Amino acid sequence: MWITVCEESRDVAPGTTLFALRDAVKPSADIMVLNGAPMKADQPLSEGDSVVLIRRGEVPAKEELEALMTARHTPGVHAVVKRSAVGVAGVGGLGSAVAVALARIGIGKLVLADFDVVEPSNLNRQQYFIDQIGRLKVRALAENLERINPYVKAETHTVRLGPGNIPGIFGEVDVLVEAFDTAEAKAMIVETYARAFPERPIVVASGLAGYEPSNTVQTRPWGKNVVLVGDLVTAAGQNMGLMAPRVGVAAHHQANAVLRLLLGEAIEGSMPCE
Amino acid sequence: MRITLNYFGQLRQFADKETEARDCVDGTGLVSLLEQATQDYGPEFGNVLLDGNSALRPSVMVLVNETPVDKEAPPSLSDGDAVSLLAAIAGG
Repeated sequence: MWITVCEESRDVAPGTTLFALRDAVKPSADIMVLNGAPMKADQPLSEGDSVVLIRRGEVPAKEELEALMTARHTPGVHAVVKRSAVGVAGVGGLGSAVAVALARIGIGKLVLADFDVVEPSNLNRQQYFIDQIGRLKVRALAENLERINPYVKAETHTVRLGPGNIPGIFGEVDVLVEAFDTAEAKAMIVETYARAFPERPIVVASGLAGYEPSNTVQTRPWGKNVVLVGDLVTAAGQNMGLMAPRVGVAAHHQANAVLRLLLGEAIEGSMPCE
Repeated sequence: MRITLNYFGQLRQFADKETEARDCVDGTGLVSLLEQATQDYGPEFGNVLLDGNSALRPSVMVLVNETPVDKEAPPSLSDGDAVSLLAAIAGG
């Protein structure tokens, strides 16, 4: 029967068990991941199973690294995300976290655009480091992503986004993530992107400030190709800051919505009122 | 003509409802329709949507029949259309 071991196809005898495979292929492995789940007990393998064998603490060879990094993915996900491109408009609190999450799952390409530099006040929520203060955000983020997952291609644009350049910069992405600061920019990119690419989805965030309950951040479809994340009411402003926990909740809602869209899954919630 | 208005976020709070059907004269434009709604729901509602020149605010997101519209050139409304309205919220 045919199975994959560290992403390579292998013909094994019917009845082969997980432990027997380990003993034959990599006896030193002490972590065995079967179809995305780490297994402690032996069990028979089945046709089509995906097995990854890891020796704890071992730095893998480059050709093995990508397979090992995706070992815990739900089977079938990596093949889809690896051939996908996602745009991230703004790489602040939302955008940097979305980019990191998508890089960790091995998105094929990220198109990152922002005009700004890293400042100390960003560090309570944005995915940058102290030694990156003063650096252009898109460049700093690209470096961070390279360290997280070198198999992700990051295309960077240091630019203030507007109707004149959004279609060109994000022309080849499968999904666009809106990750701006201002309400006006959020509305602008929804209109601009829909006008240029009426059939492509955009994932927008609105209402993620403070420390309101996490469960008030929701994901819902809004119209044909808009996915709306947030509580829709809590604005950043005086006495209502932006902080990593709740911004991160919203960002990961966005990242998961992107993943679902790429996998062809429906975005839950019904129009028009939920 | 009858137009369905769907409210989200702050608008839902000010209108105290999620959706309504409004009857209006054929040819009523989007801004005029919203001005009529403002008469029912008050200036806070209207202020979220419209500026002092009765133009839609840049932060407002509008769908007509599930498609985002260009606020500077909104389409004419027809009987049975559904309009969804949301004021985008700062923060990101």
